[in-house]
Amino acid sequence: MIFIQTLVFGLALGGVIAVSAVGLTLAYGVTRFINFAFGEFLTLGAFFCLMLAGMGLPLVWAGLLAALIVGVLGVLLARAFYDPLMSRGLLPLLVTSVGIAFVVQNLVRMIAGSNPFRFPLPLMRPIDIAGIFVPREQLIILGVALAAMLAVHLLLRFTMLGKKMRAVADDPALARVAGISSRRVLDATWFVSALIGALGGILLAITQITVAPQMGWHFLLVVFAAVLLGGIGSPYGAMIGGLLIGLAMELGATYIAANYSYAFAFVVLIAVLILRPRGLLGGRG
Amino acid sequence: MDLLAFATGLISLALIYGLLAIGLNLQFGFAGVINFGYVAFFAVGAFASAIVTLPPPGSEAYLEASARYDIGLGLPIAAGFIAAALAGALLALFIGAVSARLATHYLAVATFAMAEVVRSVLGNETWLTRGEFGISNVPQPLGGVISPESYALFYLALTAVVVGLIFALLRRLGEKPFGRLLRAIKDDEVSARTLGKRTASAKLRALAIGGAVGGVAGALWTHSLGVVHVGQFVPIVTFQIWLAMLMGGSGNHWGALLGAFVLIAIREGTRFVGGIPGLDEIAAANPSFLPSLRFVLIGLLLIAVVRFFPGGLLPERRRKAPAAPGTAPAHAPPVPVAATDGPILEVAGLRKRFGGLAAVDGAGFVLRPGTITGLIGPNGAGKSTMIDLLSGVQRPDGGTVRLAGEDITGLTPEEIADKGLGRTFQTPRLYPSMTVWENLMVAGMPRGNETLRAGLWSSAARRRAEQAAAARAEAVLAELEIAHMRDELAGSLSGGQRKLLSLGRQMMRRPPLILLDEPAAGVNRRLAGDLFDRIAELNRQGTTFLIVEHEMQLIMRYCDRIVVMHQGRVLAEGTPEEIRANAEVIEAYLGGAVA
Amino acid sequence: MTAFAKGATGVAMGMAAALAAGTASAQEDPIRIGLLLPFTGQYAWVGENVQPVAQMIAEEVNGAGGIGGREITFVQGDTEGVVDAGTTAAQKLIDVDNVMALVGPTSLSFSGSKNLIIDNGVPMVTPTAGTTELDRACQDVCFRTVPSDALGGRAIARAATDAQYLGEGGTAWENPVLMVAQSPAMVSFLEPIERSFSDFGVEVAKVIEFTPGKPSYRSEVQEALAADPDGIVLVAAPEESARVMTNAFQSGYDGGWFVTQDQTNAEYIELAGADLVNGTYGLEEVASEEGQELNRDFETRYKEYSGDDVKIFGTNTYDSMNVIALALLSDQMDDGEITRASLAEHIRAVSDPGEGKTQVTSFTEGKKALEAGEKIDYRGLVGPIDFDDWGNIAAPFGIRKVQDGAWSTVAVVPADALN
Repeated sequence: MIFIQTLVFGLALGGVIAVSAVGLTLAYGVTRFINFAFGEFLTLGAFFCLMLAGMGLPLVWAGLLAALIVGVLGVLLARAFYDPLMSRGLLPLLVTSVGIAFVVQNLVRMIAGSNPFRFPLPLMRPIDIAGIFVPREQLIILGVALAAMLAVHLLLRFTMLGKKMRAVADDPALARVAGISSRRVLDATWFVSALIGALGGILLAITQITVAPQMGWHFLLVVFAAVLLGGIGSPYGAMIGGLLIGLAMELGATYIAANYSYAFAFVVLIAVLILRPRGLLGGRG
Repeated sequence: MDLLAFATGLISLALIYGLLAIGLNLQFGFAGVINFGYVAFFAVGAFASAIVTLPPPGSEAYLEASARYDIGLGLPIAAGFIAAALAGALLALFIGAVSARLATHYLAVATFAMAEVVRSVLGNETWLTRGEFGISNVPQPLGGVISPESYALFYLALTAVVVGLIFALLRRLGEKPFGRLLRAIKDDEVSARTLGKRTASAKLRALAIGGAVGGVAGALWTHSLGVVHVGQFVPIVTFQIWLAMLMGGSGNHWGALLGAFVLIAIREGTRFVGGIPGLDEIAAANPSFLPSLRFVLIGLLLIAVVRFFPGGLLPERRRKAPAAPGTAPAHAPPVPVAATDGPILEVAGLRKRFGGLAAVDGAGFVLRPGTITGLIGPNGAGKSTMIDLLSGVQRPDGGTVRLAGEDITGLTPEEIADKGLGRTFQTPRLYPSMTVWENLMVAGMPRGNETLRAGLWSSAARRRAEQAAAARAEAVLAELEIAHMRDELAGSLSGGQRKLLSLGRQMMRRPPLILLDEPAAGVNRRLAGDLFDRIAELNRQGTTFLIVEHEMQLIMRYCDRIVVMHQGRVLAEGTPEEIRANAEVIEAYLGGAVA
Repeated sequence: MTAFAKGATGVAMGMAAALAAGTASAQEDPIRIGLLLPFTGQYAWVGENVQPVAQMIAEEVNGAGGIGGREITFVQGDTEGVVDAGTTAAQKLIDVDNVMALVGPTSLSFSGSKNLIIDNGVPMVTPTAGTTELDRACQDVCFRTVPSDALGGRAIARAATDAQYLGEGGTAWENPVLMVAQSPAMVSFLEPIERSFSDFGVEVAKVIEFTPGKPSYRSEVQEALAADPDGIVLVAAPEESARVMTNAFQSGYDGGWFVTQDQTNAEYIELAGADLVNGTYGLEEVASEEGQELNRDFETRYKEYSGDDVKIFGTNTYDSMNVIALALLSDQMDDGEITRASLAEHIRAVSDPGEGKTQVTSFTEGKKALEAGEKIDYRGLVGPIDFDDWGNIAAPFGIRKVQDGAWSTVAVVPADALN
């Protein structure tokens, strides 16, 4: 019974991680570097949503509008800071992204202050299914997560943009030869990545009830773990990885020790990487 | 205002961060390991040294301080430093062993995660570390003897001595063959392996030394404050160390040290942003404003440094080769292979698939000792894959490769290189950030000279071996007529010169069998002719060659035999005349050309 | 100029400009107080909560002519929630800014800056470090206006196990669970609470230590509920507290809650939601019945000053800053000179109880009394503020309960009930 209950909790947490992980991994597929500033998209998404909701917009619209705003911001950030470094290899990009994470997180704190805000979702009692509690928030989260992942799937499979993104991810040189404008694909990728990140941030805010400037940066490592577990660059891997990390964290908290629940998720990640150095669905480096 | 006391504390801290940056530099700047969990070594070093030196529970000092920790060994401070170094090194070996197979991003995030696991353990195992309480009263060296007023100065001196010693030691190590090998690994690990280098163990050693250095920095830190608390060892510290190393210039210990001073200057200097007139009012209205502004500035600096100082403030300098040794330049003698009457290389039924594509599909041929064999075929015939399979860079899915009668199928590149098979790459895989001379020296250095021990103590025998290698390098430079470029970076050479240098690296080793992948592609006609003359000369001295080449004229003129590959299989094999007359070959080539 | 020389010159010029700016303001000769607190990082909210209250008192002081004509100003020393940054922040405050006293540090930063504070004899009056680590850490210069967690923890156990402290309709807990976040400021509650419950005849059914910063605590809560508690004592920062209580609500829990004095403020009700925390018990340090009134006055005054509700450490900061301001004034009036050493003595002089002393509860009151040549005994929001040899205070505790979206006091646990 407790086991099933833990699975339910784990799935919802996993949904939040999975959505965020998909956003991160999509950008990796095209840009070939792990964006340490990705957590800030989450933070920005949650704060913009909070702000817009505070201005009287219904929560759903506030969330969507916030995601769009962050998507545009993502493109601007990438154009200003990442694009000039694209030809300089991995490390300059990694370090720049850490710098951007510092800047954004602290700009948010400068404006919003350090104290956490409550995310304006009303308090709801759980649904009781045969003794298993299913919190209503979790249903919302799972619903949004599934919708987001379905949207990503449709985007990649059936749209021209998605095909181009996959082509660039598979072989950037070949894609250039084939006449795919990497500029446009890059912009579109950053937009989608930041937008999904913002969505993940809003889901995170629903899960953790509060919104604070360092929320994205803290959550980032878990998202990384999910991305790696699935194999970097693989959106479907990120979905699976996110769910697995969520389950690992809740199972670890229940069956190992609550104070080791993060550590347990990372141990799972490291164990998987020892067996499969490129993650579960990762084929290439 | 007591600027002296202020400066003393900051300089000590900068030296400790400098030590951390140097340790990280050894791991990344030299061995190319992207470690985003470096803070873990700092942490275990600090705790190890504290626990080893704390007065044991129940002792007089313990009671007097009304301490509450569970473990204290009461050993001298020196023992603490040794324990810290050991703890750091052991953790590094563990992390290295676990993550040996991981590539860049996976390694970066896995090390990041491992450091968090370490922090979690240190925070939760309260019997060992007192967790979130931390441990106060960590003994300070000569703490009771020196007055509190002058203690900071004393500790600064102590820190300077320790950091200076380690710095000198690591610098020495960096200039030795061991350091050269590490830099080669950073530039191109696969190519180092095909030169017979045990890169995995060299990297592990670099990791362990870097870990030990981080551990000692932890010991210096904990004894300077007299406390140890898990709250220090958060991921942001790792990024600060990276920042220090990158600002200074990676690959360069002076740079790393300088970077740490700049880091501390920025980190602590930005505390003075409050002094800017006009900000007081905003700061009073919003307590988070100035502290956040400080980190915004630090973030922007980080971005700017990377963007505008790609090599750091002190970029790694080209090392000048020592003057040519007095001993006369001498060619390396070809290494003899186990005496055998049979073929030097036998390939049978070799197969390799990439997804749905069979790149090599049951190919087989033999090479006779002392011959030059051309391997030709249309694009995509599987020639380069064949070379990769023979040299161990890729593992075959099936079939066998025998070198001088011995089965070498599925061995690692370094094992195959040791057995006497050398190779070059289609795009020369040199060490671009090293000079021409260094490229040759790495190739020619015997393994015994590249050990850690050899880096720390030199012996007469090792000096002789190094002189011999240097003499050989002079000979190769002269032979290839590139002596004037000996101190140029390999990365700045022209395409043709790169091809020459990669052949030169094999000449340093003189394996009995050398596989050349398109040695003349992109090389002008005159140089290409020269190159093949050298090959013929080496061949006369006993080296067997297998050459992938598109330039038919050269193949026909220099090769004794020719193997033709098509669609992963061997289509024909014979003398140049036989091949020229082979209808199937003509068909394949024409067909290939048309398609 | 080489790239290096350019970089080095830039840094040097920046430092010089910053130092010059620092010295320039020194000429006006205000009395500087250091705020040695986290303003960034995980515990950034601590600094953000303390500073406005300190500023409110400083404005009161400066508006009344300052300390002998000198104004009180603050210098932030951001400890970033990291030990070595806390140390360098303390170094700057002490050596460069020459602060006369410190408000702070937190428990984490105290470990790294302890030697600096003691060696330089800088009086510190911290509103934020209740950790039991400080119970016997330093004499003469260390003071705190927050009772040791050992006392707070004991008060919680006392109240929870005795219906007379729980107000109307309250029943004593018989099967409590204790949930503690793994952070420096929280863990020191664990041992006192667990032991005190046992002393009062009730065993804690389960102790759960959890990682701070997790997005949800559903499994932790599930583990707590598995022990079928009639009450949960929750020791965590506001964010985690709100999360744990929400997750418990979502898991169907409807038993009692007890939070520490850190959460017993209006801000927490707003963060967690009034519906959620209805019926939750909290703790408040009070001097007496009259102390409670002072607390309400402070809440009103602070709301007028900042437009915000009082947050964690607000009341403690009020007392910390009043003690410092009164000690500064008393020191100044003594011989016209203020030094760190004499200030530490005057902190005791203005707060110790004594025959014939005038009891004061604010700077303005104290100033009037001092100027009238009286000796004063400051009595604060969190208790009589009578420091023992180690700078600790003891106080009776008010037990408060959330009713209709606001805290109201249901009982007072006298100091002797904690023995």
